Amino acid sequence: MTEDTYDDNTSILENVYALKSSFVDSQQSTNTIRISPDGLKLATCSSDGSVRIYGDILSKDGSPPKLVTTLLGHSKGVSCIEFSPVNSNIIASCSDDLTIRIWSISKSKCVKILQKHTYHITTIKFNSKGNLLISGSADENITIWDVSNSKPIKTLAAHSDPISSIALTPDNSIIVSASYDGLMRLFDTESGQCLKTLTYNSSSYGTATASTNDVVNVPITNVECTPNGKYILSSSLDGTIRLWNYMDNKVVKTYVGVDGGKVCEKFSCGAKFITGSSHPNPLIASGSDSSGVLIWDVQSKRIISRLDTPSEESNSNPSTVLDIDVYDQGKILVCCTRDGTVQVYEMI
Amino acid sequence: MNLSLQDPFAVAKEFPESLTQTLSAGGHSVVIQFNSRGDYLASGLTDGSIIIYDISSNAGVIAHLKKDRHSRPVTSISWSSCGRYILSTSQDWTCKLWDLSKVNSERDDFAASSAVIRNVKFDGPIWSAVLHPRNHFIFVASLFEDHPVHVDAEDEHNVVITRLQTQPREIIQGEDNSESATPEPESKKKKVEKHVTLATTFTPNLGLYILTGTSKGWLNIISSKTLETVHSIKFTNSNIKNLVISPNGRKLAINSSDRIIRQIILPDFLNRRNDEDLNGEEKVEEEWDEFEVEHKYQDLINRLQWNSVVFNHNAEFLVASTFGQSSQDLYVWETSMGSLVKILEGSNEELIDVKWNYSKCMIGSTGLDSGYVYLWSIQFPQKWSALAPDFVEIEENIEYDEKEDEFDIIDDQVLVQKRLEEEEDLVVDILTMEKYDARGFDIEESFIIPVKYD
Repeated sequence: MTEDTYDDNTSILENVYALKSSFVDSQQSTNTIRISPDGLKLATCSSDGSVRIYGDILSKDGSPPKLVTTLLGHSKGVSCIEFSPVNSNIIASCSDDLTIRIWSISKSKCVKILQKHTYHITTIKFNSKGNLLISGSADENITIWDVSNSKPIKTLAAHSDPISSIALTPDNSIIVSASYDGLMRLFDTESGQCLKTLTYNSSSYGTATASTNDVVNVPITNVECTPNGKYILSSSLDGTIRLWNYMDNKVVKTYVGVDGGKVCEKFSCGAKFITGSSHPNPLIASGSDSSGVLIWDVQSKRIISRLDTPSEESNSNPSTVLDIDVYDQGKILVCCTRDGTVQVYEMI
Repeated sequence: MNLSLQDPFAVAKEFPESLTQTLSAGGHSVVIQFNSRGDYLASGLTDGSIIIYDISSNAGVIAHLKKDRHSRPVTSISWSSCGRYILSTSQDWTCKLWDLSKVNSERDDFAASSAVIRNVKFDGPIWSAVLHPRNHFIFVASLFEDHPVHVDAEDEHNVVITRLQTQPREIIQGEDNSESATPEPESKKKKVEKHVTLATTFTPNLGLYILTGTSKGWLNIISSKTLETVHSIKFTNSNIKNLVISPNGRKLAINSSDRIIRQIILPDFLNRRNDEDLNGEEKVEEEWDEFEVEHKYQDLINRLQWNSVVFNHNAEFLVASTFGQSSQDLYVWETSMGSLVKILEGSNEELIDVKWNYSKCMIGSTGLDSGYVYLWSIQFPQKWSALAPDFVEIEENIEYDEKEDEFDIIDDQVLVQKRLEEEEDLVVDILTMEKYDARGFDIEESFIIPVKYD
């Protein structure tokens, strides 16, 4: 890529967020961070196997959120957590110990264990009614669980590498899965049928079979549906984030890192849409390998803001932001890093 | 959104074709009802409890309303249009109004408040009850061997029960004049006692009128405001078993024990959408003779009785279940010509209640012997090309012409650059939601029933 394409990419940075607090959550990496649907609780999960719940996200005196409880039970690192969208007291977690646990926060107790996957579980997602949980695993399967009776309803086995991320359209009718095999597949939630496959690679315009040897499909690490469900945002290990119009299999926008560089090529970093800012267009926020949290304008693809995370050593780059979450259309943004730090930002 | 990626010919189908699911969890189902959005199914059981299934996720049980349940079998279920309340009636002489936001409460059963927010007791079993389309505290019920009632349960401590007329309007008026009426009072009294109402319902949209069907084949139209009978028509000499109005208010089906389903075109004023049109009563009076029977559906050969009947959303199709062990099918008619278009099979037993899930294009029915709930819906064919993006399914072999630039070697950098340039002009709208789904139904927010996690 030529240099001048991105010349004005990072020229003017705006201050969209103000740092409210920053604290150490875990001695190991904090993998996922979530704000509860009622906006009162913050949850993190760590490679040390614990899930931590914090209250008081934005305290008036600027002190960091207070630890409410630590949910212990997983014997290995926890890769993903998810609040029930209908009940902020319920949180699900998935771990390398092959279990998914459902916790009651008020009781500080595990109320359900879902077990079926045969290898590390990498990602989970609730449907918006909160009665289905969809899990993706390194055993290359996606499982749809009925949470009320703890039984698997369906297993979708259509990927050839670990599943990295799952998204649902707002009406819950399509499950979007991303895998290290470089494919995104769209499944019908009700029937389990594969409706479409999307892939981006070097040799053709968005379509190619994964099986062809000379075609390299770049692993996809994260997928997210737009608020209206018409587009899919995918992050892949070639360091770019792409916005797909899945109806006609087309990439409509490509977002790159600072000065045209890579966003993330080593780690799987979460991304979220911010729709409640004063900016004329919606924004996309994503974690990155070494440039903190990057915020793009959806239309112009320019980086309009950057949130620096503390670095491990004084002179090095900011540490890797593994996940972010936003609340109330982005009024609050939280992020967690590979060295276990959590930061809370408020929109200016 | 899944529908827009499915085969458009399958999505455009207007009635279901194959039995896809059988629900048997929890007990013997006698009545079923879908909520207006079509994502939940409530099933009333013989033990008086109600099971609610989530239809959008392969029919998992979302709630089983057991606490404070009816002590005898459920006879009917009606959902409020918002989806939060359901009204159930039973042979135990009571009507219960349930608030579904209170089910699956995390607190222990002892402390949790009951999901039944109103319990109205009558002097006998209840055939059925229907909630007012706009107000979930108002309902009409038809009682066993009695006159129908209009109930306003807005105030928990002062439930207003108003008894409605069974006698047709003409006869009541005749009594007043005492000229055309039978002079002998005793025989008349006997006659009056036998005349009961078997079916009641509200007109859709504003619920301006209550329609009731009597044991002598009269259709009474009662104003929901004054609760006075405004018009009566006699359609048959036998019992009217069901009255079903299509959701768009255009057509009425009367199922009576003379083995005929009569389809009637309803006059427009019955389903006004705005209060503005509510002017002079005189103007309304003039239009009352518009009720004409459009079609009569009957099985002339087997002389089948019809158990239950229901329209689809736009009244273009009508489906009915049949009485008797010999017949185990649902009959689907197209309503403009009155022709039979489909017989839904697969249940292997007599079917009783039948309901249409409009937005999912699904028909549900209950089995008499097993108490299972059978669901017929449209099956989408698996597109195998969906799994490999550069594969295309073709009907027959085609001669392939190589494209001019198909095997040209283009520099990757140039290609990427070209794509990025194309992106610049595209404006993406990530916020505007679709208003209608692929079948043309409004996408509306509906109440979500709490989930039991522990």
